[in-house]
This record gives sequence, C-alpha cells and structure tokens, in this order.
Amino acid sequence: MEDAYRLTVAEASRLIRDGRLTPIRLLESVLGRIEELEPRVEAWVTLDEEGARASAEVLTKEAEEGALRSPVHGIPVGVKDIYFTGGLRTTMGSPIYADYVPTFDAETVRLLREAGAVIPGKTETTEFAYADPAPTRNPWNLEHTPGGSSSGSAAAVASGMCPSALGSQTGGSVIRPAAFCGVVGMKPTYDLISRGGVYPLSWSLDHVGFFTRTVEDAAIMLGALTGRTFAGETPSHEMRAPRLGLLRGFFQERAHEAVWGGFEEAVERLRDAGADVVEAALPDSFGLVTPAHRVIFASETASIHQGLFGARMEDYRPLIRGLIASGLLVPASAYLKAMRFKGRFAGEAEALLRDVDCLLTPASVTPALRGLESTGDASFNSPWSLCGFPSITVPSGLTAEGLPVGLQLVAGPYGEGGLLGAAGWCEEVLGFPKDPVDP
Amino acid sequence: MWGEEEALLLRSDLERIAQAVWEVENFEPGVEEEPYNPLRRGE
Repeated sequence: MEDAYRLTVAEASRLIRDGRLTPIRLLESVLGRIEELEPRVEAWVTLDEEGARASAEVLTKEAEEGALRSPVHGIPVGVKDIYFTGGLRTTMGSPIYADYVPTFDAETVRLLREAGAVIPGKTETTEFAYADPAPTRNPWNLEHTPGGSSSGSAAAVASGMCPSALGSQTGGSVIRPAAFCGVVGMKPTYDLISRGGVYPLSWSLDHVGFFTRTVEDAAIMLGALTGRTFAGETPSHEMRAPRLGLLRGFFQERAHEAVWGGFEEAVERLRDAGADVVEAALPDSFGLVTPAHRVIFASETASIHQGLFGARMEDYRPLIRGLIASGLLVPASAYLKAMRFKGRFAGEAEALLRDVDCLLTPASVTPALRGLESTGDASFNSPWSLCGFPSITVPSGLTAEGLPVGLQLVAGPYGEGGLLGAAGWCEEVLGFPKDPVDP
Repeated sequence: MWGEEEALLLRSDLERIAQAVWEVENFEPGVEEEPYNPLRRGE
C-alpha cells in the first residue's frame, strides 16, 4: 500500500488490526512522503528513520502475533521539538540546544511509545515555542506561514507526512496552526496530560496538545495520552445536535473579514443541520484577559530563562528576547493579580458554559498570513489557555484565496468527551476533506 | 549586540508590558471573593 500515508489514524488502525497493513509498510509510506515533500515544506528538524524502522519492525511482529497494544499500534506520530526524546536530539528551536540529546522521554512520548506509536522524528518549532518563526511553510500555499509555535507538526499532518503529531499551546500554538493548515487541533484541559519532559515556556499556561486530520483521530490520540477511551464518544451520526454558545463582541470586532464571513457561513450550515446556536455574552472582565495573559506569560518565561538568558543573550532571537527582557520587569504584585484574575476568568467562563455544550468562535483572527515572518495572532485562543479549558478546532472551509479557516469549540474543564462529540458533529456537517493536501 | 531594529522591538515589548501591568494592577479582587479554581474540582 504505497499511499498508506493518506490514511487517517483510525483507518490505518483498523487495517493493522485486520492484518491488511503492517506498521513497517505504513512507516515506509510516510517516510517516502517525507522524502518527497520535506525540501519544500521543512516540517522536520530531525528524522530518526533507523529508530522508527526498528520500532515498526517490533510492532509489526507483535501485530502478526495478534498482540496489539492500543489503537495507535504502529501509527506514526510526529513530536514537536520541545518534547524530550531519549537518545534523539531535541533543540527547542534554539541554537543553544542545537546538539542537545536528552537521556529520557517526555511522559507523553513514553506513553505514546508504550501504546505502540512510532516516532519518525522531531517537528519544527518556533524558538522555545514562542514567536520567532521556524522555516516551515504552509502546505496549502508555500508562500504562507503554517502558524506557530507548533509549525512543523501542523504542516506535517496537513500534508500527510504523518497522520498525527504532538504540539503545545501557551497562547494559541495548537489551535491557530491547525486552523491555518486545515487540520484538527486539540488542546485538552490544562492538567489532564503531563507536561513532564516538555521544555516549559510558561508553567501556568502551557498545555500539551496534538494535531490530526479528523476528530475521531483526536479522540484516539487523547485516549492514548490519558489511558481512557474517547473514541466511542464521537459517533457523530448518533449524537444529538449540540447547543453552541456563539461569542461575538471581541471576536467579531477583531476577526479578518474573510475569517468572519466564513465563520458566519459555517454557523448557518450548523444551524440548518439542527444545531441550537445561541448568543453568549462575554463577561465585562474579558478586557483584562489579554493583559493578564501577557503579564503571566512574560513573567514566567523570564523566570524560566533568567540564568540562560544572562549567559547566552546573543543566542536568543529578537521576539523571545523582548518577551524575557520585559518579563524581568514585571512587579510581583502585578503577577499575583494576574493570577487572581486567571481564577476569576475561569469562574466566569464556566458560568458561560452552564447553558450550552460548547462555546463557539473562529479559530484564528486571520487566515494564514503571507510570508514566514509572523506566525499570526493568538488572541482568539489565549483566553482558553489562560483559563485552562479544553478547546478544539475543526476546519470549516477555504477563503477565496484557497486558505483554510476553522471553528474553535471550547468546553468546561474535563469536558473533553462532550467537546469531541460536538466537534465530530460539526465536522460531519461541514464536510471539509480529510485527505492530505499536496503542496 | 542590540541593533536599532532590536532596540525598537524591545521598546515595543516594554511599552506593551507596561500597559498590561497598569491594567492588571487596577484589578481589585474582592476580599469576599473565593480564589476560584474549577480545574481542581474536576480532579
């Protein structure tokens, strides 16, 4: 099966289970796709063909013996290059760590390997997962950014270089690149999945997340990372139409015309299919979300980097330099008030969710920007990174320029099951193609 | 070394953080307000 790279996680998993596909053949197809596209897309920092083939051989033998470990048995999963991988270079997108080889796996990587996932390599990240861009290009249009900071993971999944990949989000680093690249991106509740062995950017805001091409695949990945079953929670044809709280105000005022136009069209389609879409009012305090997020983000990044920054300032690129330098000046009183506000906003956001299944917004302020200098604006995603609630994006259509845009759905803490169900329902109604894009 | 472009970027970062700090410093959580963390309730 030469074009096995086109399969979703669920499709490949079923074929492996039925003995019609082996993990090694799936890996070879994925490696072939990487060889073909990588010179143009630049999604990978480090490839580990040898290690991946060794794992896939073992998993193939196990599959032949009927010893399947989990639904991700034999599934290639790209890993963002801030997740530590024992024996495999992990650069954090920084020249400071250009040759750094961790001695242990991040807990998430350990769980995935244990569940039978195959790691073909490490995907490009912006420097330290902030905003200084990676070289990765958007597979929908190579002149455009794929977004960031999980740039390589989003582009790799969109173009079929792997069916799933790990990312992380502190502001909007999963949801935004997923939307820019026309794939599903999920950021579960703040502390649902371990951040152990993931290089921190901001302890209170960092989330583990991942990319897939379908909601069903997102449920499978979440299951592999939590040891729970979510896949059964997304039979969208059996699910009742969700009740969705549409957020306007800040989102409508800030959204690019093409994004808001596409969003309204998508909402109409959801309504026509039976979704109960009601207006949800943002709390008065919403105006403090961006400053509070910035104060916490800058302070914590400065604290994390203080020692290294003092010694190696010249090796930091301009945007993260500015974040650290400004974070060093934040008074403790402001940081503590921002943390108190974080709690207040979480309470208010939970109240917003009392009468609806999910909140609904566009996934990004703009479509993917032309050029690679900026990875885009995270302000539609950072509120949910601030309060720690789970969010997911589902591709909803293309702009007139042929760039993807997506919906963002947000649920209450630990509401991943309902969130996946609602997202699966929306995905089915919107019908965005799940095939990899050919750049 | 910091070039002119980087100095301008830094200035913009410093202005943004100063504005953010000013806005956050004006936030007054009430004494009666329970520090709220719904995430803990889900554990």
